[in-house]
Amino acid sequence: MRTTGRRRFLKSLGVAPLLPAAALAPQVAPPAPSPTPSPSPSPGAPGAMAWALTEAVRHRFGAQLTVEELAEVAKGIEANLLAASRVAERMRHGNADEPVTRFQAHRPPEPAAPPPPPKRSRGRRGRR
Amino acid sequence: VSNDVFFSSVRDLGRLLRLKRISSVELTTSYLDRLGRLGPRLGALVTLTRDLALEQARRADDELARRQDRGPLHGIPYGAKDLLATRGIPTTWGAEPYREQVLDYDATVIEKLREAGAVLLGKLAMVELAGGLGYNNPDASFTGPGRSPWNPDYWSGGSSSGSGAATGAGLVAFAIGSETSGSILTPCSYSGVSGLRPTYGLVSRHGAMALCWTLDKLGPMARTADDCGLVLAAIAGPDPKDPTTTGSFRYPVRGAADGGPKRRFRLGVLRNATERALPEVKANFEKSLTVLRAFADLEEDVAFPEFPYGPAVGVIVDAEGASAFRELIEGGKTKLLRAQADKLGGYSAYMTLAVDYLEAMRARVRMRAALEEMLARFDAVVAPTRGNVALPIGYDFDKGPSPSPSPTPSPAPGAERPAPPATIPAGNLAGLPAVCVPNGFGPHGLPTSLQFLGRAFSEATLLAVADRYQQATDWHTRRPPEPPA
Repeated sequence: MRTTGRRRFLKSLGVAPLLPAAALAPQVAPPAPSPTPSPSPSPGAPGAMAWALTEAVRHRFGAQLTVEELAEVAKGIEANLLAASRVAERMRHGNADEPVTRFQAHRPPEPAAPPPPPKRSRGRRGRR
Repeated sequence: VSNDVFFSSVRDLGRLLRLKRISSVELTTSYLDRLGRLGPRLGALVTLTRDLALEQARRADDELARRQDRGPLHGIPYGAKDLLATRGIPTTWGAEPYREQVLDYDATVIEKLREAGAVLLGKLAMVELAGGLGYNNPDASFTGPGRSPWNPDYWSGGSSSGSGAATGAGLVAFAIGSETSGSILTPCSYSGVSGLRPTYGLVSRHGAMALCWTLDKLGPMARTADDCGLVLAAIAGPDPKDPTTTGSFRYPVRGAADGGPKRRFRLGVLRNATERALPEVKANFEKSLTVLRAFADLEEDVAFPEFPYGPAVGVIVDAEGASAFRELIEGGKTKLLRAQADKLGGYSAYMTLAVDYLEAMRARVRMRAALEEMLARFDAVVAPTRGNVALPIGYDFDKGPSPSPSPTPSPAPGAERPAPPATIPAGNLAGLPAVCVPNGFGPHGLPTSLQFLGRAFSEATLLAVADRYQQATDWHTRRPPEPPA
């Protein structure tokens, strides 16, 4: 269901045609980004979703990347999609389960209380 | 100045300064020479801040002579990971595209250390962009790979590579590192030093390179857990320039934490903690448990909540990192990075779907709750910091398991080997503190490490446990050989 939905979404953006898979034969999958090396998902060959997203990369950054580099990007995307699907498969959320990031509106500082009206003080003289 | 001084703890150096056995200028001059001479051999140094260091050391000597004591770090030389902004001094983030970057302000941590009287010796090497674009090799910085002081043919760990190597080799008295997921604990483990990853929000990140706003943390790397406490006390606390900061940390008198030096702690030993670990890591961990039993009650076989921690960290770092470095990626400048995987990793990270990012951020809520429930029963849970020792220089992480002279035994045919608890990504996703200390050696003379993971804001307890362990052992006093020329 997820994959179908993504495909439909990408089609709606008009990112077809996809790069021919044969032209972008996978070699070695880069690991999921990780500040320290850790076992990363070991994806197989990039699937249709990865190629679709790679086509979006080519559309946007094609001038910067060779076909071989795009094939590497596809493998990276496949690894990332695999990581995301592992999270989604293991963690089903209820409708109202919020993410940890919480937006807060800026609360302006309370306006300073107006100074109290000056007391009418009658000096001793006045009372006299 | 003898090697004894270079490998002294912060606490001992402070004693020498106050007894006038050495001045801060003498100490600083000697450390500057040592860091400048040996730092490049270990790939640990980016910039030596000689003039600033001598100015700060002279001021420290003057103030101490006038009995204006700023506390335990007064006059103590240190190094900072080169992702911390330092006014007028290059801040390179370990990456070629930022090699000439000079910022006009100091990070809050740098300011706080200056106020504490510490002396900045230099900016220390790091994995480019703190590893956020997916480096796959120790050679991932324009300064080359960080090398373990114990065996320079092996990596010092990342991404705080220079902080680990420089502290381990006695080139600085302590260092500041950063951790998004493992970047303090791993170099501490591979370089044989003590380290502390603080609770998320305890230390201001203002002025630190952002890789992943909801995971980044700054913390000390030092010779002892006690030193980590002294440094943390100086850098922790609220900062209006970092809205995530909350809470404060006061390091108690040594041994007085949580009931005094005779208190017995309650520790959990994680189930499968040594699964897939090198035999030496396993043996050292078991010896460590024997030491811990002298002052702690251990509950064995504690189940670690099972969640997809590693994949969740990957999705979150991808999304936030691609946003943080969007300009670099869109400008095609990731091609200037050193590691092959970093050159292209930004493009795949750029395509992370928003819904996947949010799913991972929702998952953190349940992970945090499950970990809190497990940790609430203990002062800390223990596990090896890493199941291996440092990886060889030139080794690609994505080429499979590291070659080892002591491979882990294969499981019986048909038996599935359980996974070890993913303490590093789990602790980072939940924003939990951890302390790690050296606990022995493995293949190639490389160190192994013991990790204590605790509840949020339990740093004082974790440090007390680790300090007691170090009082009963001498692994933290071992010295590596002089790096070869």
